[in-house]
Amino acid sequence: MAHQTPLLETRRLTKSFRGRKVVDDLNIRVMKGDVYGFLGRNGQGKTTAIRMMTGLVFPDAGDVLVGGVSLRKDFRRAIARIGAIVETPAFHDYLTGYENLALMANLTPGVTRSRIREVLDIVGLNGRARDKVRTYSLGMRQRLGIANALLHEPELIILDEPTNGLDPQGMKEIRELILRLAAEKRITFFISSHLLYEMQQICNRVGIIEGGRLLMEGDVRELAGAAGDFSLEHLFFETTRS
Amino acid sequence: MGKLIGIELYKLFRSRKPYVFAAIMVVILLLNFSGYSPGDPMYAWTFRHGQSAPLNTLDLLTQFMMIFIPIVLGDSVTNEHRRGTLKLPLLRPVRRSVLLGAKFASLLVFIVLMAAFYVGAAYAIGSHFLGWGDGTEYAGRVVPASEGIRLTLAAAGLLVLPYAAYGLFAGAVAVLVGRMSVAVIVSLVAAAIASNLNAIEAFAPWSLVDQMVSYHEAIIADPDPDLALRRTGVIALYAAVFGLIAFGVFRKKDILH
Repeated sequence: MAHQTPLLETRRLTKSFRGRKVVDDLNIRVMKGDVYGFLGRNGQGKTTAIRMMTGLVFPDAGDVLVGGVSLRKDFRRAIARIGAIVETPAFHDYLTGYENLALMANLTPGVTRSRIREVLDIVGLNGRARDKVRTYSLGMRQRLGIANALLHEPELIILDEPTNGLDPQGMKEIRELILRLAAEKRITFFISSHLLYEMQQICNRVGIIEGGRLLMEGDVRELAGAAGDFSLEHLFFETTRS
Repeated sequence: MGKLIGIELYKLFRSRKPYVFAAIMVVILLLNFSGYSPGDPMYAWTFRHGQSAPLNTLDLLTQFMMIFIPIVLGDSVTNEHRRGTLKLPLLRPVRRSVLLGAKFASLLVFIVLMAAFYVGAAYAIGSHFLGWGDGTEYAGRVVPASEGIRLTLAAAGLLVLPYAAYGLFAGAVAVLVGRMSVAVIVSLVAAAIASNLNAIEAFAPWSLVDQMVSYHEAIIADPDPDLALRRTGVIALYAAVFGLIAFGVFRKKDILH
């Protein structure tokens, strides 16, 4: 069987804040085509791990590799393959959705105005693109965040709690959008969440983090095959309890 | 770098700040010049005509810059970090040093435009209340209007250098602290303390605030090459020290918002 390089890999990633280990020796492998659910309760190190995966926070030890390229050694080459929303999707409120995307498009060669319209169309925001972001709902901001992450046609999109704070309709829209992008555009997703039911519906692989350490990582279908009445919620509580 | 500078300028001039600052300048100039008459003991100024107003009131421009510069950088660095918008460019293939460099470059453009606006406003408002006059008074002499305009532009242009060094100081503070209000207050308090210390003769030549007030004088009022060189060296030293701090800290800063 041919060896496949993971699209995203963390190697012994470790980070402490004020003497407290927030992420501890984290080893994750996300393969091309995965919709990977990064599960854990609040405060267990999910966001810090994602910040390190995107270069916003520097690890105390370990490294992040994107398609085999070290984020620490060649940040620009590695980050060019990633689109991300880290925590809440923040934008310049006094600018329109379109203007925010146009500013970001300037930072990536080859992103044209038609690409901006295309991503706005993908996330269903074309009708509100000329409105100021301060008038957007949380769900619309989340969709604009995904549009921003899609702009430069990345292979991997990292989403940190994408459905947090959304109403059921908003959650459904984001879930369908992720599934559509994964199927149609062949985009790999790495999604952190504590919403287990949501994750079960969209992920093919999951990893569970507790106290900054990865407790388990596995294929959802294999896990479901082992137990007929498979529930991610059941697996999560069994794993974290042990 | 050019595109990042463009982005920073676009954000700055799409916000209300520069226009509010310009309005404040106009209001303060109106308040000062409407009640001013040459020889009035209430004023330290002695000029008689509007064409002398900008050159003789550049200390006012310095006071504006002491306040405006930390606000612009506090918003661009500290506030963007806190609001989460600093993440937007940092999640793209952009070096942190280049991003901070673009923020400083856009501040430099802001300083030049604000200085130009001040000169224009002081000419207009000064001439409105005092008339244009037949010569520019400066440093105890009267020069023709054309020479006066040249001197005024040169003086305002020279002051951009110490203002930019102060910008690097305010930038270092903005990178180090977590709140915009703290960043602005720390910069203002430091400038206020330095202003008071300028009364000490041994301290003044090494003070950045002293350069912000009178750097141009050693070059255009009473040219003295040695003094001009020393003052330029002091400005460069401040710029280098605070620039190194700002870039050094920002390169390694964890973005937590």
